[in-house]
Amino acid sequence: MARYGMTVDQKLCVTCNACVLACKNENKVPEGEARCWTVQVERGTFPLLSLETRSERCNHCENAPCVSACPTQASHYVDGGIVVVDPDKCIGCKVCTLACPYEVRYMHPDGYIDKCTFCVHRVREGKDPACVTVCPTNALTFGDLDDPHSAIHHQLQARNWKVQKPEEGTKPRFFILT
Amino acid sequence: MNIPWNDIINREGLSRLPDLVVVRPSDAPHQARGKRLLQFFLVLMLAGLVAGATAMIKHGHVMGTTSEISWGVLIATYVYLAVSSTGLCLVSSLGHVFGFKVFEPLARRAVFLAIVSLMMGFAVMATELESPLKMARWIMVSPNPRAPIWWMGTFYGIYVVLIITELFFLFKEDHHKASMAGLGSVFAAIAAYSNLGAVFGSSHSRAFWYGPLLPIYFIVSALVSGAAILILMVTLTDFFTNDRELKPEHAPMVDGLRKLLALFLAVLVLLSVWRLLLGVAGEHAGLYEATMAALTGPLFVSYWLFEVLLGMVVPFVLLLGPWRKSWKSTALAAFLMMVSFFVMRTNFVYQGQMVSLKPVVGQMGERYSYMPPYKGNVEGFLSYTPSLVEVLIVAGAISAAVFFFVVGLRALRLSPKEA
Repeated sequence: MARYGMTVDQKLCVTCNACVLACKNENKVPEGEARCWTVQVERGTFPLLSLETRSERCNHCENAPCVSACPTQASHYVDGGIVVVDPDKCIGCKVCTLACPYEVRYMHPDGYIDKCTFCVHRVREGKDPACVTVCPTNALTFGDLDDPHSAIHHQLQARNWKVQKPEEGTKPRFFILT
Repeated sequence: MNIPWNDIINREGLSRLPDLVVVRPSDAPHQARGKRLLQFFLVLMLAGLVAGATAMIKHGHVMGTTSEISWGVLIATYVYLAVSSTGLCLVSSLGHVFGFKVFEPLARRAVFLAIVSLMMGFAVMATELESPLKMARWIMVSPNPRAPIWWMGTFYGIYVVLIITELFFLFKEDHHKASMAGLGSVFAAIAAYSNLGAVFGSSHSRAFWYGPLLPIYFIVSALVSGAAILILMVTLTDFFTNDRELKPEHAPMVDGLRKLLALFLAVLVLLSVWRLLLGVAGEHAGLYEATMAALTGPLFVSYWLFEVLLGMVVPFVLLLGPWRKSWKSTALAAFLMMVSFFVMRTNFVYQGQMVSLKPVVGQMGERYSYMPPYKGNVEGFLSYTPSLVEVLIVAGAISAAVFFFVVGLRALRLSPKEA
C-alpha cells in the first residue's frame, strides 16, 4: 500500500499562484474559497532580509484530528492515507474545522466541508495532482513516501525539511524543503 | 352556613388539580401580567421560528459565523440548553431517585422542563447544522466511535428516551419504575453532557478548550444550572400564583436548593480559578492569549462583570450572606447566575476560536502574507458578531422553553402534590 505525500521546495517556489488556479479549475472550488494557497514569509530588517515562499494545502496527516472528530466518518482516509471528505455523509457540524490545527477547510455553499484531496481522482488514474502538474518551477513533488525509487523519497533523504506544527502530533505528510 | 368545602373538594378529586388553576381574586392582576409575559414569549418564539427556517434555507449567508469562527452563539445556546436539561435531571433526581424527601415534589415539573429545554437545544442545533436530516441517518449507518460528538449524540438519544419514560411513569404514579428510569437518565445525562465537554476538551489545536478538566467542569456547571433553574421554577411559580409570595410549604425546598447551589457554585469557582491559573501560566499557543483576552482584553467587561461579579461573587453573597433566609435573594442569585451563564457559554465558545491558527507574526518577527488573502490573517483577535437571525433563534429558543413549560404547567398535572 502506498503512503502518499507531497513536498514543496521553498528554493524553487516563486508564489506565482498557478497551483491555486489549477486547483480551483480542477476541483470547481467556489468563488472566495481555496483548497491551496501561497505564503510569503518576510524575515529580518533591512538590509538583512530573507524571504520564504511556498505553496500550502491540507497536510493529509497520518494521525488526522479531523478524521477522529468527525461523527459520521465523512472525513476519512482513502488510498495511500489521503484524507478526504464524503459530501454525502457530511452533516455540516464543523467539528472537523475546529479540530484541524492548520485551518485548511471551508464550508462549501452546497452544505458540506471541503478541502484538498491531493486530487485523488487524478492519482487513481496514475496522474499527479493538478497543482503539481502546472507548477512552472517544479517546486511541488507528489509521490509514495515508502517507494525508495520515488523522487519524494530521495528529496526527503537528501534535503533538510520541516512540517507545520509538529507539536500537534498529527504527523503531516506535506513537507517543506528548506 | 358551614359549607364542607374540604369534603366536596376531596370527593370531586379537585385537590389534584394544579395549584395554578385555583384563581383567587387577589391573584388576578398577577395572572394578567403573567399572561402578557406569556404573549411576549410567544411572539419571540414565532420570530425565532421564522429566523430558524431562514437559517436552515440560507445557511451561512445569514449567519455571523465565518470559516475562522465556525461556531458561534447558536452552539453556545445549545450548550446552555443542554446544560439546563442535564442539570435539571441530575438535581431533581435527588428527590425521586435518591430519596431526599424535600425535593420529591419537584419531579414532574423538573423532568418536563428537562425534556423541553433539551428539545429546544436540539432545535437550535438543527438550525446550526448544514444537513440535520442527513445526521439522523449517518449517525447510525456510519458511526465514528472515536468522536466525542458521536457519543454525545448517542447518549442524548438514550437520555431523551429514558427521561420521557420517566415522565410517563411519574404521571402514572408508578414511582418504582419512574425512579428506575430516572436512575438510567441520570447516567445517560452524565455520559452525554461530559461527552459534550469532551467535544471541546479533545480539541488539541484549540488550547483554550483542550484538557481532561473540561468534561468535569461541564458536569459541575450542569449541577449549578440545575439547582438555579429549580429555584427559579419554584419561586416564580409561587410568585405568579400565590400573591407574590413563596408558599410556606415550599420554603424548606428552596432553602435546600440554596445550600446545594452554594456548594455547586463553590466547586465551579474552584474549577474556574484553576482554568484561569493554568491559562495564565500555560504557554500552549492560544491559551494564554484567550485567557488574557478575558482578563484585560476585549472580553474584559463580559468576563469581570458577568462571569465573575454577577455570575459568582454576587450570587455567593446572596446565597450565603445576611439575606440568605430570604427566598427573594435566593431567587435573585439564581436569576443572575442563569443570565451570566449564557454570557459565560458564549465567551467560552468564542475564546476557543478567537486566536488565529495560521501564523501572522512569527517567533523571529517574521510576517506572513497569504494569497488568496486569508481572512484570519489579522493581528490581535478574530472577530465574531452574531447576526440578527442568530440572535432571534437564541431568543426564540429560550422563550419557547419558558412558554412550553408554562403551558405544560397549566395543561398537564405538573405541580407537586401538596402534603
